[in-house]
Amino acid sequence: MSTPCRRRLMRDFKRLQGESNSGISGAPCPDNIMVWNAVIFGPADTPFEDGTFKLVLTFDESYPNKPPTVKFASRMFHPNVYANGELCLDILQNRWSPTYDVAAILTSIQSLLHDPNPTSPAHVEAANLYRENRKEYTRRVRETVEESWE
Amino acid sequence: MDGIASSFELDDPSDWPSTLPHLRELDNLLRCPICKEYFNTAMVTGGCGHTFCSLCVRRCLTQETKCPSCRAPLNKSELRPNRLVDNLMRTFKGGRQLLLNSLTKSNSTPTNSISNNAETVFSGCRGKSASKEESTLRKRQRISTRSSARISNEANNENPAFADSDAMQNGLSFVVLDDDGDIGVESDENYTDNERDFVPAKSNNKKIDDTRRTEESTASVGITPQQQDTKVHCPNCKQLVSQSLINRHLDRCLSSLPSSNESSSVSAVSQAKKHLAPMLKPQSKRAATLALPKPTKLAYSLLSESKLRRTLKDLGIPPKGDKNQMQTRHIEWVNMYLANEDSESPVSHRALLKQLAAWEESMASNQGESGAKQQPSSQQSSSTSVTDHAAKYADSFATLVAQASSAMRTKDPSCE
Repeated sequence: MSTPCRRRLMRDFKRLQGESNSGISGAPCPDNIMVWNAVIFGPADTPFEDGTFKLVLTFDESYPNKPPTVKFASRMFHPNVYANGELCLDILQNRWSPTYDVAAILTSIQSLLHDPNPTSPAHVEAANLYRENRKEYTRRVRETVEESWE
Repeated sequence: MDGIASSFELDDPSDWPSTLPHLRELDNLLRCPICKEYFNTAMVTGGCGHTFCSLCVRRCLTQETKCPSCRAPLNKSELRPNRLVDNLMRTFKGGRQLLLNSLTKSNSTPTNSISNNAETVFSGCRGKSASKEESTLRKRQRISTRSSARISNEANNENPAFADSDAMQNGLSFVVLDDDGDIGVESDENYTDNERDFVPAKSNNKKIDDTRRTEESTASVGITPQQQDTKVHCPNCKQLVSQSLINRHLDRCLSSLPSSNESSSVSAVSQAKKHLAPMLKPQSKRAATLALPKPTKLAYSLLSESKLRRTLKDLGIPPKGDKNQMQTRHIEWVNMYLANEDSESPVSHRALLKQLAAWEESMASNQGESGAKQQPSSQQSSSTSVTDHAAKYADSFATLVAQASSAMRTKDPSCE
């Protein structure tokens, strides 16, 4: 049954396929359009470079008026990603706008990898290392990058 | 799943060749930033000047009184209709398929494009709901125009087919509406190539040649005052037309407008629209013997369940379900009702009630369906279930990785 939400998700999918997005991809699960799998490539010139990070997006019928729940399925080491994979990203919470689509969400997450926001840490250790010991931070991130290839 | 498959049938800015970024952007600009569909009753915001579909922006503002685009404070009372955008969209949408075709197929001539535009522009302005009947109608129109073209080319106004007085009333175009037998004989080289997409072009192309002739004969014939069934004046050409044929006549009559006035298709659309408006009204009036009172926003938390139920009853919407369901229904009804009021061609309240019921039903069934599957995913607070998910969809993720990396690869050379 087609609802505004489902129709919008189909559009999002088409848009995501149509655009030549560098390093992001996503698709609904074959058995449920409300759950999407996505992959983000770590942005170049960051410790995350070459990482292929997997995410799961869960929508409900209130989309796009409400944001989806987004979670990393790959282990992450990032100041704004909780240990369980949940993200601390303003546009997925109080600054959500119904004009965003899946491509916009994935692009935002990609740029979050590029520019962590250590002032609202979700992962205290990663935030501290990011501020105080960039070399160790990089090493820990590279571990997750290598893990992401498995 | 069918959802994914059908996503490729959706029109999208990416339908345009990447060599034409302007058309892509134009297509994008004529879409609501929220639903990404072409605007349905465009409304412009008071302060920041952003434009959305009426229903989309109303639904958003129910949740948060901020502009969905720029987050500036925004109230529903600050929304104003943006009719120009509606007209631009209809014009663009009307010519869209034709333009796409002429971009992909080289066998269409410029004259073809113009005449086709005329028809498709017009059909766009009739709104989405009519599209199905429209296609069947077009088929018949095609038949009729082709044969009428043939007839008028022969300048044979004494053709026995004209004996029928109704047909006379409606001008040449309708004369041989059911005359399928003859039509097959006519040869039309490009016809099969373009059959699906160029139906309007073909009919209109022929028509342009004959427009003057047709107009002349409709004018001379139109006032003949003998009628068996009720005649009404065509709001466009003022000609008397049998009521049962008025819709078809109007289609013909209006679609011939732009061909005589090709200079500005936008004005043709608004003209057509204006003429169409009185046409739509009698229909909705018939159904709208039911006029429901205008609903207003309620402070749900201050209302008891029985009070809310009574309010719903008074408003004429189903007072069933628990308080939550009634509240959801009332919110949607307010938005639907006001969006319908914003519309240039509002539907009857009866039709609106049907839409409300359909909306509620689809929400309920989908909520149930996805709810079952969502249970595990919403409980995914433990990282193990995400890992399970990733394991279950390992193949799907592998494909996505491949997709993303190929996108990277194709992008790289162009950057350097």
